Amino acid sequence: MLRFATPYLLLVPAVLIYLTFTVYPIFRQFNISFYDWHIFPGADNPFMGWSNYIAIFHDPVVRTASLNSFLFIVITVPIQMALGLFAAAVLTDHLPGSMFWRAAVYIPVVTSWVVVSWVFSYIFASQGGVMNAVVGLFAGHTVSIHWTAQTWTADAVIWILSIWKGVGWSFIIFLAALDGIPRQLLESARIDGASEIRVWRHVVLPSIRGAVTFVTVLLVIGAAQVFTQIFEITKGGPYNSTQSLMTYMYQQAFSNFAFGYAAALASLLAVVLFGFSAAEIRILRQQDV
Amino acid sequence: MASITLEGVTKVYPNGFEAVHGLDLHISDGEFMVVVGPSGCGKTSVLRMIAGLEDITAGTIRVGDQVVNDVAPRDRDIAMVFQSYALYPQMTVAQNIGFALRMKKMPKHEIEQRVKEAAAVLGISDWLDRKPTQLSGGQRQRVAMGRAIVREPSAFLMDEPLSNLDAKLRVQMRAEVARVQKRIGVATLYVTHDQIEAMTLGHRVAVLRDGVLQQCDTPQALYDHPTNVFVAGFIGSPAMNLFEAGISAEFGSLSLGSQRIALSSDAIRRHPGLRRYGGKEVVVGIRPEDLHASSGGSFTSVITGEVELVEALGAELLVHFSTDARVVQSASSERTSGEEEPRMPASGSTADCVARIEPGHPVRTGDQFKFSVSPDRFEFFDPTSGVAILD
Repeated sequence: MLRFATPYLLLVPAVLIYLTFTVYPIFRQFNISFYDWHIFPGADNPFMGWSNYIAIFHDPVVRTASLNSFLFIVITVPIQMALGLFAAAVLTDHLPGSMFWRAAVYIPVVTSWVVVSWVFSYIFASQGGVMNAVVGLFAGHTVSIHWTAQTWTADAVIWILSIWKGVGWSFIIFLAALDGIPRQLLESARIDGASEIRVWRHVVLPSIRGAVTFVTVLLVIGAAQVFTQIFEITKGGPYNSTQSLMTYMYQQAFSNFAFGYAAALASLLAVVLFGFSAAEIRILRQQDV
Repeated sequence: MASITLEGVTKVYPNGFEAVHGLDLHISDGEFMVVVGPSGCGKTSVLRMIAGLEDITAGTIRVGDQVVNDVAPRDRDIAMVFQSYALYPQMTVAQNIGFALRMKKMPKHEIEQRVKEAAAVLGISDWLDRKPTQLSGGQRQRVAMGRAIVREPSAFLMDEPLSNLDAKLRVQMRAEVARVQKRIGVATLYVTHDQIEAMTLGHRVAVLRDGVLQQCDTPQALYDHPTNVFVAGFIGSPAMNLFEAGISAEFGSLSLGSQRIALSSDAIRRHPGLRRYGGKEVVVGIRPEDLHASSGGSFTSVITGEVELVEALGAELLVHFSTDARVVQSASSERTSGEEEPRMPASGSTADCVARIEPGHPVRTGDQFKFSVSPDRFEFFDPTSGVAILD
């Protein structure tokens, strides 16, 4: 009996942690989304039905935040992947100094989002910022561009920071994937008459397709949840124009104390990301057949 | 179709390791040349230099009349079969075979035609829509061959293509490789560490050791007249028995430990150089099949040994025995991968000697067995240089 039960008993701690800290919050959040929920103990939490969800579809800030999140995904994800793959391709051979450059590309990944967001705020500060000094050098006079106070320039600062900090992650995945391609496969293609471009097209890219899909799925999920850099640099301003879904959700929950509304937003985002991930995994499996 | 010529080809890797030293080799159009040698002897480096996958440090490589030292692999018109087959996993068998033709931008219908022809030659027509992962080792090997022959290349390179197959399939595919090479009739360089493959496939066999060509000749000539102790020990399975021996001053006999064997005038006539070794030491080589169980006939002498092991193989008995003569271990039999080889043969009394005798003889472990020999079948080598004593 004990022999039969032992594996299940060993699983109990992990299952308990998973149920407590993953499954329960998901269901609790979904439950909260149907209430005008207040954080204070004993407060009245009236049932709202689908009202929070209906309100989301009429909220202009949600539209702006969705558009910003979408733009953030379509701009930062492909650029991060392209730069990561390029760096991996250049640094895949064990050339002199390649270890230094590998570390240099990866180091931003292990830095703190809060710290680098503050550093970027200083770089792009309107008074005394490095970027204005550089632009001033080219312009020939002092400039005072309010980078983080205008929608598009603020978006650009956030994109640049996110790409710079994120490239190392896709780089390390692609580096491992490229290292995993048998050398003889590439040599065979070269002997078969393929140019380097065609070697990449016909051998390298198909060989790292799994890594490309993996990186795409995780980067999109991560980009859809962009929060810290926006919160630290623009706080969603000016006038909510740089809000992302996550920053707006946070604002609704912890500034406006509209927990039910924030929970409804989170539920919708989870459904969208779940659908996207399922579609990606399905495509990946189809390609592997 | 073209010949392949290597003149003074040397390969030194960036870490200073000299893999190939001043190699001269000519493979005629249509010839099947096998390069054989132990691990690390430089044979794969030779192949990769011809393919253009490695730069050469010195020398010249020609394909036909064209010097290809600085020509990119894709422009050499050479096909290669890799040890791992190197099939493109995402492509079907047909796409794999037709890949090189696609790279040449050949019309689609012509590619299909040539792929079907190559598949028919190799008997793989039924698998054209399969992916490599759905094939067995032998089937993959055929696809790799198909990919090489469909191009109708000037020359054909094969890097140990049978080493990943099991023993039975290897024998079957060996015949297949020989058949295909004969059919396409282009200069072929085949690299292997398996001397049986070398002997059965090659029109000529080049034996390499430490990047230096030891001997290049027909398989039978290599077997019958090895130029040095290394080749003598490497070619043949079981290997040639090599003993330290003394030649008597009047060339009348040979001492093997405490045993004396009369030297016939035929033996001296075959190896006139032996006249320089009167009263001196030599290394004598005796093939296992030249040690006989029966006596009389042309056998003029006897070697007695203590039987240590008898392996009954059905068609023959392999009798492992020892004598008090000092056995010379050829460097090829001592070597393990990555280990430095001694230039001179090592000697010792504990090493195994082998006789290949007809089945049915009552031989038991522990017996003192008398092997009949004919000294004119012996090979003789200089004990210092290891070079064969001929003229």
